Amino acid sequence: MSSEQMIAIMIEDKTYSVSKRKLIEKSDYFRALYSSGMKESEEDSVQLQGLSVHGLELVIEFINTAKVQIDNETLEDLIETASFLQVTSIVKLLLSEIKLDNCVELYKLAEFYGIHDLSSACLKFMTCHYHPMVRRQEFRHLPAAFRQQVRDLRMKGTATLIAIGDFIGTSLDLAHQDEPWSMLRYDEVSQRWLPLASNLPSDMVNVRGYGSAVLDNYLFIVGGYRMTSQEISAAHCYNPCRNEWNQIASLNQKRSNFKLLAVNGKLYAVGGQSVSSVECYNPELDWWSSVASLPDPLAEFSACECKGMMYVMGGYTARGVNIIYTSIAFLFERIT
Amino acid sequence: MDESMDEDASFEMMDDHNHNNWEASADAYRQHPPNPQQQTGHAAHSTVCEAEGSTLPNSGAQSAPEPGNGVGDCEDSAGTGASAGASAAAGGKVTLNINSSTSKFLMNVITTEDYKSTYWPKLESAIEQLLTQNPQDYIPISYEQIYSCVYKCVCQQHSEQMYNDLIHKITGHLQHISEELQASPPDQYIEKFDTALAQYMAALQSIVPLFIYMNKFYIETKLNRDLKEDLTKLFTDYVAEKHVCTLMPTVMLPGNILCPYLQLAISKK
Repeated sequence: MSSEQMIAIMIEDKTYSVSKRKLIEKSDYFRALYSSGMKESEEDSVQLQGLSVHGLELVIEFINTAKVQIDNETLEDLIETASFLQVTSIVKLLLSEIKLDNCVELYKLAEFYGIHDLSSACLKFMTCHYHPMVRRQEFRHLPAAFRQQVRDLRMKGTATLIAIGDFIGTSLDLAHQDEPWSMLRYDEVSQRWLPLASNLPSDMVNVRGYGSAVLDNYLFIVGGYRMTSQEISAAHCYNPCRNEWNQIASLNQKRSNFKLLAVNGKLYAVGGQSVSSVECYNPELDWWSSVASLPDPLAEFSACECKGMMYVMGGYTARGVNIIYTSIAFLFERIT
Repeated sequence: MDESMDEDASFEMMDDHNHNNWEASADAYRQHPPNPQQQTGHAAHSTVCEAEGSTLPNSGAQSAPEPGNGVGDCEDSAGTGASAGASAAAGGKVTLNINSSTSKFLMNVITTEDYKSTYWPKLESAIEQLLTQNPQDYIPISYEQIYSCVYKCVCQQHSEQMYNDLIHKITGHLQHISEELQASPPDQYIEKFDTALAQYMAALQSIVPLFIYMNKFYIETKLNRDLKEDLTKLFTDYVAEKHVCTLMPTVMLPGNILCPYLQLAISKK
């Protein structure tokens, strides 16, 4: 310890004493400095300029202890100093610190300082957490083309057919028959249904008559009724990038045997058993709001989206005891 | 020479916190064109892209960004329709929360004129001194100052220019060395060549560490080369190769006898 050569690092009016060996080991800046034979390499002090004192303190703490305190207020100081002094191991540490509340800023800083590993990790994080991201103001303030890029990256990969339900005792030749698989994916190469290891949340088991739709590569399962015929308003979404289910805001109106459509970046829950109301889910707000209702409650109708419009077709209306089959198609124009 | 080194441009920058540059950097924010190969399968009900598809592809558009991409080069951002439209869509004024702290380094945009009038002359005089001083002599130049200068230029997108200037500067120096060698009397020739080589290699010992930031973020990532190798090769191309005919017979083969093998190698040049 006593033989360890210490270097006085000076910034503004402060001085920090750090082991020369550790500086050379952790920082490419100091390694190059002491191999350069230039002025400071003969001296026992280095005067730094232009860096923030706090950023330097954080980096020196890391050089001494291999630990660093990461909080959002000082991210820029930390990254700027780590970038200037080329302390690349801090970047590796930051890769595991990407969170919803710092990924946009981390991405900007990583792009600015040319830290490619970190910027691609942040981009991947935003892609995987797309809907939570669109709820964040700092993400919405990013240029539209960038947001579109994040969204496009979600669509990478092979389109896959997924089945959800209770597959115990089916004739399908599934691996691990004893496990209660609730999701299957169709493998086009082997032409077989294979288990998808992500169990449904317990409150989604045995729900019938739900609406389902895919929006931004999230699979939404909304509403339906339980075995007891009790209708529900709960809504869940499956994120294939993370292979996980999350509960989202519930419908305002309990409904089953309705249609769920993805139109223009939003979800529409149309009608249902004895229900004429239509609700719209905005992923940016995680909220359902009412939009124009169907003219009449419809049962067993069909609905689809085409070029940004919703079409509702067929079905029957129940008035009193008479059942009137309809041949009318309704068109909902751009309810945004 | 020493005085010019003592005057550090970062002092002026510390006083001038021009936050507009950060806003400009938001507008010039790095754009990628929408991927034309976008999957259309997501429109189908209950069809989601599989988890393994989430791995980001290493597309060419994304690999190896130069530091400072997105820093306020407004002319560039206006030049591409996509990003101009994007900044308009973002509401024109984007608030970045990274301007809250006290970053002093990159507050000011370094224009090409700034680079030519302030930054490169400073680098050039340091390189000149390193190339011409005796290898054993004390180097009075501050590593910190020159490194900072290189760092700022790289972050402000001047890597290409700086790299070309550096190569041009050193090429010019080596051509001069070569001419001097040519004019030197034969009895001092080997000694002079040896001195020139030693002096150049000693200079690289300092020059290469000064430019590590440019090496890492421009030469290695964009050019797939290495600064030390490039600079060593310059000596081979501009000095060693030109003098190999004079050197080889005297050094390797006393009595001026060229073996056919060597003769062949030389005549090919």
